[in-house]
Amino acid sequence: MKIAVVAPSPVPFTRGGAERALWGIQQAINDLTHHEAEMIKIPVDESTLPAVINSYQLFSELDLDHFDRIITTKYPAWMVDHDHKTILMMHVLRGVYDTYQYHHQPLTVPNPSDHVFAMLHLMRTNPGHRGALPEFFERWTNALAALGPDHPDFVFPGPFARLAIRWLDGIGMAPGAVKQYLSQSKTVALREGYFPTTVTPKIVNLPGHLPPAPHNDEYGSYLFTASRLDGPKRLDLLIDAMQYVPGDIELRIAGTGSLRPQLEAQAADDPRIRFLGFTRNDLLPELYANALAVPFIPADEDLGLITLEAFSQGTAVVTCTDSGGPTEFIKDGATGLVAEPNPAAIGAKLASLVADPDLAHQLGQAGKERGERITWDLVVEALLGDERFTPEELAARGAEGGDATEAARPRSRRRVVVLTTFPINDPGHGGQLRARNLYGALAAVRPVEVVALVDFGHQPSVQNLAPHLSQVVIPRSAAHHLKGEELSAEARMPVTDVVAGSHIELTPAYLEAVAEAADGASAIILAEPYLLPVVEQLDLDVPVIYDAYNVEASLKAGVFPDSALGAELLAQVVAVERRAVVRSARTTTCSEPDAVALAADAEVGPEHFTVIPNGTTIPAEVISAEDRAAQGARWRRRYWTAGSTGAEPEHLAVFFGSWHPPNLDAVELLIEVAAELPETLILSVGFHGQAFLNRIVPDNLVFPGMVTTRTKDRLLRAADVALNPMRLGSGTNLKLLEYLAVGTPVVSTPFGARGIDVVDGEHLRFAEPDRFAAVLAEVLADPAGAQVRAEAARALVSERYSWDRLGRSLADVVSDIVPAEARR
Amino acid sequence: MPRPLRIAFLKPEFGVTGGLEAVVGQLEAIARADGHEVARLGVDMRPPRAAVAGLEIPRPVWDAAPEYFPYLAGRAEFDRLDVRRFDLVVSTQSPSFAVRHPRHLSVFYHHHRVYYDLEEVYLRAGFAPDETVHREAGKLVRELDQPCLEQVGWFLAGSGAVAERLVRFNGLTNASVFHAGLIVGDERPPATGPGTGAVLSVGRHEFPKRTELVVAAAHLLPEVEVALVGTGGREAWANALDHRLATSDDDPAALTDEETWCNTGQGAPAVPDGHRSNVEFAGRVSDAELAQRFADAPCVVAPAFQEDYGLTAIEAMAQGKPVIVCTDGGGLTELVEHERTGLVVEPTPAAIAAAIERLTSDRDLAAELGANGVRRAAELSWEAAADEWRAGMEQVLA
Repeated sequence: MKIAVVAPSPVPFTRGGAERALWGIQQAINDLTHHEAEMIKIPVDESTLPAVINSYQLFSELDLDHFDRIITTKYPAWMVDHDHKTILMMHVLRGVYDTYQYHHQPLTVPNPSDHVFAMLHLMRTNPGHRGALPEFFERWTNALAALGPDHPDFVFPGPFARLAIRWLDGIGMAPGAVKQYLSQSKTVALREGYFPTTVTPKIVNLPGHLPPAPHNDEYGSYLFTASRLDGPKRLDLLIDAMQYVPGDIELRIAGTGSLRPQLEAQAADDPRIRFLGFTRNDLLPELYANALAVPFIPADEDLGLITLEAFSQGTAVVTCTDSGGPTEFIKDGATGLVAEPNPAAIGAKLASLVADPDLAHQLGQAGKERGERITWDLVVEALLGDERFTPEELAARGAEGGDATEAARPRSRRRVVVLTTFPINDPGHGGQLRARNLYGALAAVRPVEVVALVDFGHQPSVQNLAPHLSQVVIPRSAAHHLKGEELSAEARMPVTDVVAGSHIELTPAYLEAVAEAADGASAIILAEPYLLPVVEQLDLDVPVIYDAYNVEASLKAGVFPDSALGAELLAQVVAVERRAVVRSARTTTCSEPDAVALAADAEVGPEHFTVIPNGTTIPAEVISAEDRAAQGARWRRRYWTAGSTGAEPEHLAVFFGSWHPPNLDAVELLIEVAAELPETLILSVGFHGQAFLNRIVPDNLVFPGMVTTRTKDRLLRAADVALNPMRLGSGTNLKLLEYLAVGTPVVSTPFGARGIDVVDGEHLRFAEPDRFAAVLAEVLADPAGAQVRAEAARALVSERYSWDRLGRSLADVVSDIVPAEARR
Repeated sequence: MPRPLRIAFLKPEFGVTGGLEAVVGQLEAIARADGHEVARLGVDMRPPRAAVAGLEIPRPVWDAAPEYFPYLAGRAEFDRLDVRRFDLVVSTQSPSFAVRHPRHLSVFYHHHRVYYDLEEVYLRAGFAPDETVHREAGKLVRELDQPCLEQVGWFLAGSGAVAERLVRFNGLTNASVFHAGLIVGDERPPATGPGTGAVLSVGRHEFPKRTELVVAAAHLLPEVEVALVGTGGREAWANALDHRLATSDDDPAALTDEETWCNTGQGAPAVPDGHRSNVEFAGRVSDAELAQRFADAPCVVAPAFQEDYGLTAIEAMAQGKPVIVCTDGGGLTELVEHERTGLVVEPTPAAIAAAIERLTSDRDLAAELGANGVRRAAELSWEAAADEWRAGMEQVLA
């Protein structure tokens, strides 16, 4: 394939980051693939509006049809018309986009001349329409001749310039005219107006490695930054920050620019600050490599090549929270430092590195590793996909990977498609847990294909999570993401789940993926109601099961703001939930009361509902009595504080809970219980412990804080008894199921066991709050009886609440509703 | 041979004071007590400039083989030492054996290990900037060392493992094993038997001491507190591993050697302030505190790979503590006998955790192994060591 990399040649020419990126792309295609890349450049002078518009015209008329495809990175190069155009956006003409506000110009043209008025009308009536270009350029030429370049309508940047250039970009970047959109950073992808609203650009970072340089005598003895000396780079802020950096460490600043005299004057009192002026590229690596750290604190930078250059030398970078691109690579304390954008905060970060050169070195190394993950290979991959390979190479890879055969296999007509607003394979909230386990168990009976709508910025992908369980991941478009952010900001709480479906047309890729997946499938499961609009818009002829995780209307009524927007959102939720019940062939709920509530609201009969409660995973083995005794003794030893008074604890009881009001209330009861049973050590595990930091509680009630799942499992098995002293809350208590599943004896309030079919005295002991300590004492006094109950409870839970069992129940529901011809 | 003898102890100085420095000091004291004149000749192994025997080496070349050139520089310094005025020279750490003298006794604990017994694991861990360069340098080092080692009259090998290395790499059998004792004169509390406090591991956080294996093992036993005493270049790495295992569900038993100890230990992610787990990084502690920690410990873990000797194991046994060592622990496995003075287990987090669990569950077993250890440590006295030393001297003088 012959590929043209098309770009403007800046007048006057400077060899900046953009030029290095272009050369890199050309070289990567030529070196890493069998394709041939050529660079096409036209000089572009950006100093006046006539020069800029002239360059838009030149590119728009350029014929590059002797290439199979073109790649453009910048205005006005994307004006070229071509059958296969890729935009890998570095940035637009920022002065008429995100930095326009700094020019203090209006958004509309005040009293436009007739010429300009006509052009504005042409633009307004022809958005994204290439056919209007000849008329536009003709009118522009006439207007310029009639009014002269200095006419107030042509202020640059100014309102007419802004509208005209945005209109021109809209034609060059129109969805029909572009095959592929890429963005050099998330920061760029998210900026207002940079991309058409229906487009989700793929993020591809361009490498910025410099050749490695050796350490010299000065290693670690100075701070270094390289920068154009202009406003957005905020060197004034850096100079101010140096007041907060003690000691005699130098700050060396390489680069030239319009602000140099002002900056030098500002730094006059600090002899440690040196301006190196113009610095040859070949000297940079050594300057980076030997610096203690590189402060780089621009305002909303596109990408920040400086970051990657410093990374390549293993030097730590200090940036600011609002610096844009650099914050995509620098995580505070991990791959560099990130300061609030004020002199004291930046100075403090720099001072911390001066005081601890080892830390600087460590952060630099971590940054280096981060930088090494940005490769030209990935750029080529993003630009060309599989086409980077010859057919022979591709065949060889397919044979190795086996992915090709996977895709070629005919898909089962038995399969079920699940629509979710989250990836099911991230352990997270309860919904994710249910999805992963329940649909995972369903996959043992029928193939399951999940189509997950995920956050903007993720890569689309297809994942095989388990045999017969796959997940298609579709990220929200930038426009969809922004809509969610906007409404969440207005509502002062996240409403992204609601927006997922209500604005799904902003992510057409999701609609396409569902249409593709559902074609020929036997059923669709709607996980939560929010994606119902997908089913409605696609008008799919596939039976739908609505799997209701909650009664959303009552859940949201409690949390949405008391405002017009809150009311409107709530009305939407009520409506979508009702439509989901009505539209579905069957609705599954987590509990009987949920089914009753949904039935009443939608006026649908009870036969429409099947309760599939939340379940638990049943561990294969239980702990032996000896191991429980030995481990229990060690837990008691570990958490028994030597200095405390009273008897040494003989028993171990546990409670697990997040920082959630019903759990905090349960701990209040535990405080009373602990006081009555000084010989029992109660470990109250989870984030809720933070809430009791300053409370005086009995010595035998200890808060170990958050623990890993691994530790939690081990502790739960080692305990003599697990406590479920719940007095408040809604929904079923999943942790009770978990306690019972591992075979640990349980004391629970009857309230805490709601919705779970356990019998007092047979599977566990119930205790009302006022009798909790007394019942616990009885249980501890009769370990044999407790053991018998625990075994019965484990058997019950395995029978009714194992995910495997529940997955089969869901499979039965699917079979019920699938038309006979698809059941073959 | 007239007595008293004039004896030179040759000591490369690395700027640290560890077990070996103590052993050399002890031997000097014994020689003086026996009436000899003793002098110590030290060579600073941290050369101020990139030069070997006066020849300046360009910095990038020097950095490309960071073990090789400093070693050559040190060797050259020992080679140049004029020791003709002494009746007997005693070389200690590598490369002090490069000194030339007709009566040369070598108290030998190791070669320059990254070019000998640690070469493969050193390369596997990724320390060498260039593997080929390292292997070539190794060949050169071994060729240069061979004639020097051959002119040594007698070797007092620090352990059976060390004596075996002399056979394997140099074909030398003129060696006897020398068992250094605990340093006499230190105030030590009486042996206490297994305690109920934190499991103890004493050792520098350096490659290949493998303190990381103890960290990983500790996270398989979240109910057991483990204290690591010692500092070192890999402390941040071990700390980051602890933080990772304390805050994720990564399975410690599934970690590879490369994820735990077999790596350069560089680039550890920063650990947030206030992080706590069942692993305590105690750093450097006072002798009194160390004694208390020994007294409280139910058992002691010494997970090092191919240790030259294993003083920490003797120290633990002297305190009545069962010791957990690994099957590839070198000298450690000569000191600790499985199910007699401790447990010898596979070098994995799971095996070490199982051993800790066994010793903290079965207190009778722990007490029995501890008591045996006290007796074993008593055999390793400086009186016995002095006899082994004098026998070595006679071999050279004969």
